[in-house]
Amino acid sequence: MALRTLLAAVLGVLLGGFLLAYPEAALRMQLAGRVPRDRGGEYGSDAMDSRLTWLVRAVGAGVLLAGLYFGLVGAGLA
Amino acid sequence: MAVVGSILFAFYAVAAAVLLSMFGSGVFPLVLVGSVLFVGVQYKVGKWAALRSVGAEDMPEDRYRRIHDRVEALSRDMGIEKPTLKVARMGVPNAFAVGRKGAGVVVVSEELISLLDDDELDGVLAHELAHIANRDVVMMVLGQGIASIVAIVAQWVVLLTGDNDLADFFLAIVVGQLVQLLVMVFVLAISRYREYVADSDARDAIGAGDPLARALEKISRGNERANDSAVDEQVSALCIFGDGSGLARLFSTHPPVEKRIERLRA
Repeated sequence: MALRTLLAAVLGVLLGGFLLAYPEAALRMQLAGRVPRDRGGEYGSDAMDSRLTWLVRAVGAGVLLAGLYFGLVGAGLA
Repeated sequence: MAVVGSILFAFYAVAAAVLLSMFGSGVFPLVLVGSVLFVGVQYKVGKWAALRSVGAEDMPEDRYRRIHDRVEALSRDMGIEKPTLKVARMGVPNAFAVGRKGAGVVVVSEELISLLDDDELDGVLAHELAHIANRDVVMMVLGQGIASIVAIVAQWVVLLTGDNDLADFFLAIVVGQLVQLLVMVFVLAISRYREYVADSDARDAIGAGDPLARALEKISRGNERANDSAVDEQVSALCIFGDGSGLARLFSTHPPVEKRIERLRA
């Protein structure tokens, strides 16, 4: 299995898993500094729009599947 | 915080060094100008988008005379120019600051104005003015800028050292995201610390920490009720109060409200 393909598989699964498990954290990572800290929800909170978190989950699922695909490619099964 | 700031600078220095080693020292001015432009555009676009997204309008002085007077007095005390005041109907009690010293804007939601007593609102306003006085908005833009630049450099390193096949493109995107995630852990640590500093400065400016603590309690209680009763789904969608503990807390822009209240009353 090529090292870079293996790396793509492992890191893809890791990132996809993170996006699925912590969509708000991932969103905050992208938005912090780009939008004001308190703008998203109520004052003093770390609120995030739930519609956007579902979008992040969808992206996470895509990344996870892509990671699995590259895992199969690397193993010669796809 | 000096340590965290140094680590952030180190990330940027490593990214710049990688670029210089790949393209030669001749690109140094380009890297420098490019970085400044990148952060500058993020700052300008972010400010414009934030005000536009909530439909903020100038706060009429005749209707909100007391708020204008208090902000003017607090700004004088904090040694900054009075920022532009805007009001917006956000659906939730909220306030935020954008811009920098001399060109700051504070947006307050109508819901916040109607929810809080005068002294509690003063606490919130002082907190937002402290963010402008301490250049926190600029610092966050700078932090995100560094994270983005380091992530882009990491992506290009992966692309330029690979075979340009599909796995390489995917690896570049994933590496970029993971690198940005790593740098943002440090940026968000600074953000949480700056919240405490803004709380402390607000307490000094209004002479007591209790009003801001009460404001946070009121908003927090109201939010819990909204989440429990699901009275307004549209509002509840915007009011998820933090996201727990552990790893999620590492990616919070704000410290836990309970800790802020505790410190304000200490």
